[in-house]
Amino acid sequence: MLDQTLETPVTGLTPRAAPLPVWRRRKGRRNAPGPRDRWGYLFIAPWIAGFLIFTAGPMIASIVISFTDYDMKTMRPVGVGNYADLIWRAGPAGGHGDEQFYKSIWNTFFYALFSVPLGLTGSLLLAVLLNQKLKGLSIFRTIYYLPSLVPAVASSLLWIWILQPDSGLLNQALGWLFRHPLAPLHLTPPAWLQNENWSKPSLILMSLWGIGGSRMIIFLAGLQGIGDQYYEAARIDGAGPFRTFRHVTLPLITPVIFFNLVLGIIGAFQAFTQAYIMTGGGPNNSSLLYALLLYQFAFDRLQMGKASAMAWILFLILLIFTLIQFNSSKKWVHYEGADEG
Amino acid sequence: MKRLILYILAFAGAVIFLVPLLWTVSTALKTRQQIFDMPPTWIPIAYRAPDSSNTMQPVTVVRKIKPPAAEVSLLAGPQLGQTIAVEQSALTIGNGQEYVKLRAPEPVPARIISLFPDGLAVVRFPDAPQNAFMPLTALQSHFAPQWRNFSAAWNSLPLPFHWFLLNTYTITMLNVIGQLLSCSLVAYGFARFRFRGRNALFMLLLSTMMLPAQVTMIPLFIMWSKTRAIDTFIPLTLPSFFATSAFSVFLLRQFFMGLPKELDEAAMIDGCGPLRIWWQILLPLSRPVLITVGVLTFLGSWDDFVGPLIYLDRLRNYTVSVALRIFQDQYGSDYSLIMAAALVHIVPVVILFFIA
Repeated sequence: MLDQTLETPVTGLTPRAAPLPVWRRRKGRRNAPGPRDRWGYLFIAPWIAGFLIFTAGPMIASIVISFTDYDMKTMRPVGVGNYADLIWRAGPAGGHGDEQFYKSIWNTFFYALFSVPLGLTGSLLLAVLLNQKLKGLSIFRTIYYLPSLVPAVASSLLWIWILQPDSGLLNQALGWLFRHPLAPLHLTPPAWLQNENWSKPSLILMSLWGIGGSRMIIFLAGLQGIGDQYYEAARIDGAGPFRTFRHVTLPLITPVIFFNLVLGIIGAFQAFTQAYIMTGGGPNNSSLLYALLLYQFAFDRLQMGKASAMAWILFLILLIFTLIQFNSSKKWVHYEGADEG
Repeated sequence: MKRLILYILAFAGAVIFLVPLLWTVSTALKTRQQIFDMPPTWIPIAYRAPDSSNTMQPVTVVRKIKPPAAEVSLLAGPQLGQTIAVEQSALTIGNGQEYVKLRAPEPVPARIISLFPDGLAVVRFPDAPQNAFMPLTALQSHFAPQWRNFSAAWNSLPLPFHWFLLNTYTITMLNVIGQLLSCSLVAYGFARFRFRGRNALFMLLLSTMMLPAQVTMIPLFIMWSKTRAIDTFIPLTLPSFFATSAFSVFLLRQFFMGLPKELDEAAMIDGCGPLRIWWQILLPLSRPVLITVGVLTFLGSWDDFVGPLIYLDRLRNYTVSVALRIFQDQYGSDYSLIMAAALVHIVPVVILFFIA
């Protein structure tokens, strides 16, 4: 039935009815929508429905909920109460906002501040390495990519064991290094996840294990897109490998860096699984990431209103970050062709 | 010279990236004692009592039974004092003492109860009345991967792991099918038709990529719980059929736009409707990008933790990722079991990667 309707010439372009001149005319006016183009709405209908049901609708609902007190049973409007509690009203002294909330913001900023730039640098360096003409490249690429395939829960479990303070692999190696007669300083390895000062660096360290993943692949694609003529010109001008990298490669892949930076920051602010599995936010809230606190508000304490308010604060933070990046990008992102000549 | 440095760097990097994975495999195959070895060891080994085969053991002949056999009493070795029957040809005499050459007995497994820094260990042999205290070097060590860690991990929750694997696989496959169908349909709509508001809608679609999932998480949870879909696979799979992956739509659209439009037009002249053009012309030509989207969806769905954590309640519905979480709660310090269970989660993805 459906097929039949589709077979009927909606376009009026059956060979008999519409010979070549029709095609030519349409080619001349590419931008004018024809009757056939209404089919487009039908094809994107799944997305429109999905967008309304799973994105737009929930977004509106989320705004409404964020102004209420809702525990899945009764809903009570509280105005800006949730935002006020989080940002300035609650707290032990009756003011200055929710202590855990600010702690989680600090933790998340700290996490993003290190994991994103270090991760980007690492991915870029790996991509540069893999862009050289080495033998066995595909083997290296596979090995670098492998860690990013490991599911988050599995890699969290794996890193709990590696970072175990006494018999974990890392501390055994560090202990051997620090006790070595030639070691200049006699340090003791940290307790990683079990120490307030080291829990965030642990999460950052773990995130760096995955730098060989999709971000590196995107960098690699960017590097391979750089035309040989640029390197040729740099060589003729007598530039060494480091100056070539600094003045040719780097400027030409700034669009890719920009793309990875925007998505990297958005990803870092939503980091959840590692903290949930590895530390549960501890010790002493030192690894309580924003998304984890939000989850606790929603599903442990059933404070749906407060959790929704947190979600919108996160949205605003990310929006501000993204806008700053887009604005600053005019200064440092070079698009090929835009600044030539 | 420069190339040598590059190779050294690439190799060092590869080692650093591989070590955690190899360590996982190694831990999963070790005994509970060996995982705490200091310094750490990589090869899973087990210990046995010193080999007593092919050595001459002093005996006294108790009686000669019907030749050519004899019954002898052992004067040394782990079977000291036992009386066994041997063939007479195995008996030899030297220094006035009768010896027997024993056939290789079953090696006696030794379990290390505790280990002291100077290499001394408290060892238990299965049949021995009490533990022995001896240097570790006196024991025989041999390569012994503990495969039963896997079977132990597999069966240590009330439901076996293949149950969770099957759940995960079902959810993942539904997501792959849903995203492939819906995203390619939507991408086709955006790539081939010039309807009003197309560019604005496409920008809207792309901008959803930047929307943090937390914003919609709570209303969606409320929605699914009001429709009694909690603890079913519906919240985890149904949205996939509505092209919820903006990135997949983007990839597919870029690919479709690279395919010559003349193909569509030729098909249209042959009387092909738009839906058939999508199904019979574009999709068969888009194998590479469909595989990419399929693999990305597979990875994302297989990896997903928050979704199952929020929406699944009963153990029978759990995916591997949430089952691992329960596993961690119950067997927190038994690292060889945990690493074995984690590998159950990792291996299917790695296999898929090597196939694709």
